[in-house]
Amino acid sequence: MVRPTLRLVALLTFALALTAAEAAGGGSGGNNASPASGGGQNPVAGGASGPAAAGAANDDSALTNGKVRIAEVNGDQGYRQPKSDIYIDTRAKMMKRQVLEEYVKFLAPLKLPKTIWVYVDECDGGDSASPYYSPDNRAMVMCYQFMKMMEDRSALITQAEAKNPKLFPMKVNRDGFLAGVFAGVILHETGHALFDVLDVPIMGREEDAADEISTFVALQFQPKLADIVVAAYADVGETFDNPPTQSPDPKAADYPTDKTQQCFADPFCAFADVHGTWGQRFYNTLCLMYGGNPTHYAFLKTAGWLPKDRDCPAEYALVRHAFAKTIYPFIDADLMAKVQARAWFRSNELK
Amino acid sequence: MRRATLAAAILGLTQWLSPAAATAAPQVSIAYGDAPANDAALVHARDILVKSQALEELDSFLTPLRLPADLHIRSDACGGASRHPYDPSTKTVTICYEMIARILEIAKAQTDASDADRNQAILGTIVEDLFHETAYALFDLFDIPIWGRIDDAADRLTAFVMMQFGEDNARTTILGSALFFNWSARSWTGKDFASTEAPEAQRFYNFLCIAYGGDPIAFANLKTNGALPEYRSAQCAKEYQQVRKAFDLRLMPFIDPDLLVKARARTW
Repeated sequence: MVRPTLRLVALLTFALALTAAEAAGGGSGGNNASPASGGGQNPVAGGASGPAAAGAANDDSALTNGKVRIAEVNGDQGYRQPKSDIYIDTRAKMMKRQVLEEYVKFLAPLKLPKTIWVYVDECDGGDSASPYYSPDNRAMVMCYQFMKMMEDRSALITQAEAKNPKLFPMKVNRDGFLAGVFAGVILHETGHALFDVLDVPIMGREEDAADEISTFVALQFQPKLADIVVAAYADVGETFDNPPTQSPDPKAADYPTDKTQQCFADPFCAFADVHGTWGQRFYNTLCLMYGGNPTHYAFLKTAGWLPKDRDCPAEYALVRHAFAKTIYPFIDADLMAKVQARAWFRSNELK
Repeated sequence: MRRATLAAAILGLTQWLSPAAATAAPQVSIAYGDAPANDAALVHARDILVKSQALEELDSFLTPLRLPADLHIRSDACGGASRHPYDPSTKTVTICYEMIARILEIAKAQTDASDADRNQAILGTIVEDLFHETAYALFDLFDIPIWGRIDDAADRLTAFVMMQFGEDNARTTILGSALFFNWSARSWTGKDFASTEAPEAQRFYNFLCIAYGGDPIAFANLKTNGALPEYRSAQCAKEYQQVRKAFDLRLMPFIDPDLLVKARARTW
């Protein structure tokens, strides 16, 4: 669960992709109107164009789920007191944005056989600790370290974008970036949780599968919301490194002492990571976006972001098929429609 | 609804009463396509496959499967490409002579390696290629949901199957494949990562992890000699069990358990 620093970067990227998924809160139009190809069912059918941003108050009375719960301790509402003062501000912002409360509402349509839990904590693993799902506790844990790192990252990304607007496939503002990152990451961890409690057969690599579920879910919402997530994802991805191509000098001052870190510094051993490289995750996500909505994301193709030899609509269809077969039966369609119609991002994030 | 059920029952009864009306069970058909006579490497690759009866062996191996449709497996020249995608419209798997030639060429270039290692890599990787390409057909024929990248799914199913036929076969095929991935590894950068195929080093670890996770006794040295880094070996049991569960849930219902036992008891 805890990954080395180098990997964190990849994780972040990954998380961003996930974010994209959740951020897409609205109905991505006709292209993915029928995720359950041929099955007659319609997992998370897109369609209705709900409000993109929360303007008038949302009616959330129906959006409850007794099987997705915030793990509260001593009245902390699921936001643990951080051990380090540097995360006090991060915690306050997350509480104010009500990220956990919103997340639980977002998952209202899930009919789960077992309760899953969620909370935010200063995780073990130092500055680079990243969010994880713990099957032992059936808990998704978001880490203050991760969100703080994303806050810091967002400034760098904005600067880089100002210098070179073509550096990233899409633009996103700092608030949107953070909201998108959070959404993407928590959806990715939700993927792990669902694979666990729903006994989902995973033939490929689970980390990629969790990326897929996150992106797929995002794509079931309005393009305007999905955009935030993709953009955030792509931005992060662009700022992180793939595995090194040169062997490190073991005598160098910055050569890691930790064995796992040494492995990630090695051009071959770095590929032992259970996560794909950030480059793989970046292209996987762009490919699903385009495959899910070739009209809206046509520019990804024309601007050359997509690999030419990749059949993205077929890849999207494969994920949709897997979702329809293994996840959709556990979704309440009426509640799903409500979730799709609701505004999940705020106007400052959508700008 | 009830009427339909009744009709189906009568139809089933009729078929049972008149065996002549029953259609033959779908089968695997195999064929060795021609290699271009002017390409010595491909001609040699074809010879190797034919002499080793690779497709006949694969056909026997697939006997326990209850196929819903005929499956065609052929080897062929692929116009320079080492892989040719499975064709779901004709249910045809193609094994490319180019891939076999490439395996032979890369093994031959390892002048520091022992003959035993080279032979293991050649045999193991040819089996890997046959299984890997066939996996795509199984995903299609049995309508298996694929979470994760499909090429990795084909690798994981391949490695899992390699583990089911005794430790000697597992060593030859998995370690042979891993040797080949190591020898053929190239440097990946930038847009290389857009590929649907995994980098060789990633495949190396995926195969070894399934081996160690499935049999930490026979493959204990993968951990002790550092081939698998500690943080990865720690989760290989989970990876193996995950593939096993997917196999049990989605493929096992289409496999004749008695024929499977026979296949496992056979010497390959």
